Amino acid sequence: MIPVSVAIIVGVLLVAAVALAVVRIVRGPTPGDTAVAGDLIFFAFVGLVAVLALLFGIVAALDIILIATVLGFLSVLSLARLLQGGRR
Amino acid sequence: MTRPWSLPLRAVIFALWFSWQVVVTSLRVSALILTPGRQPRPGIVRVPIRDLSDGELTLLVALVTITPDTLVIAIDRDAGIMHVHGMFVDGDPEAFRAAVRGMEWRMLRGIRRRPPSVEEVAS
Amino acid sequence: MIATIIGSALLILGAFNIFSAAVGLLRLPDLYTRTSAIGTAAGLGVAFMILGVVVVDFTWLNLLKGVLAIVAQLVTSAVGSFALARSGYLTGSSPAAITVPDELADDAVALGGASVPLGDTVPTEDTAALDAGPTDNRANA
Repeated sequence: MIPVSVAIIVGVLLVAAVALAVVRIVRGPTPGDTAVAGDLIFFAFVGLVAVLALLFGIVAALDIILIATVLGFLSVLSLARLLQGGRR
Repeated sequence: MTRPWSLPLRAVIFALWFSWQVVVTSLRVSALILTPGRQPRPGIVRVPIRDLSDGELTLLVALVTITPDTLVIAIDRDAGIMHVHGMFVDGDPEAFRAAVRGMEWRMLRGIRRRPPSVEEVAS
Repeated sequence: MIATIIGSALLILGAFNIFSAAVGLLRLPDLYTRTSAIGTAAGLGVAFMILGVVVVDFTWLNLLKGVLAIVAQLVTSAVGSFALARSGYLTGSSPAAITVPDELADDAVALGGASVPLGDTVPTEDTAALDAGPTDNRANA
């Protein structure tokens, strides 16, 4: 368990990070920039899951994070592949 | 120190050195971002690939890319070169090349039973 | 108690690192420097946050899971960054003009390779890149 204040600080930082990343997605200019910003949103999401799990005392926190990071790997690969339009 | 049986020790030393490297370069990049008005002086530098196995090359590319200030953009094994983007090249490609090759040398000491000596690497 | 304090500090440091990477995403001039910024969030940010969870809720099993998650995360970010940078270059994200030297562009010109739009010194400032230039290549995708 962590103090609520800590969860709020972390939550604000991560939500702000997501907001900035969304600005980058809107501005572009290349698909690569969108993908990189998407990557950052994923990291912030992992962080939010970690904090929420601690705040509510969910024991499976690390299992969720572990699965998320492994899935993130696949998503990044498929994004990069998509950018190249299936070319290698 | 570079005898075959010292490999586990060398591997641990390399892992610690590399972790420390990730921390230091992350802080450098973060400091650059958070200093108002400061812009990076990046560069893309050609780095020769030495005689590495597939696994060693893959590991090297992964390690170079994990450290936040450096990023492998292209690999051409036939030509024996790769192109590395650096956040802090500062207009000095020679120093940057030397830094990447320094990491390669440390990596080989951490994973090979009989790593090359400093002299072999300098050539 | 001490575990909670150290864990909280790690969580806040990690979150701050992710936030600073997001600032870099907006501030930095091209895809490659932005990828470097994201690398700090991937390397330090997420690792600190995962360590924070492990410290607050310490068991040996959690430590093992945490280390596994950090390693998976680092490998993900390495392969991802490389794949993104490479496909970015192939789909025509030119490095910003402040990239000196750009030996990849030099080599491509020397080889006469026209497979990538190079020699084009249009900086990837948002406006310049929106007008014309290399980014149009994505239409082929």
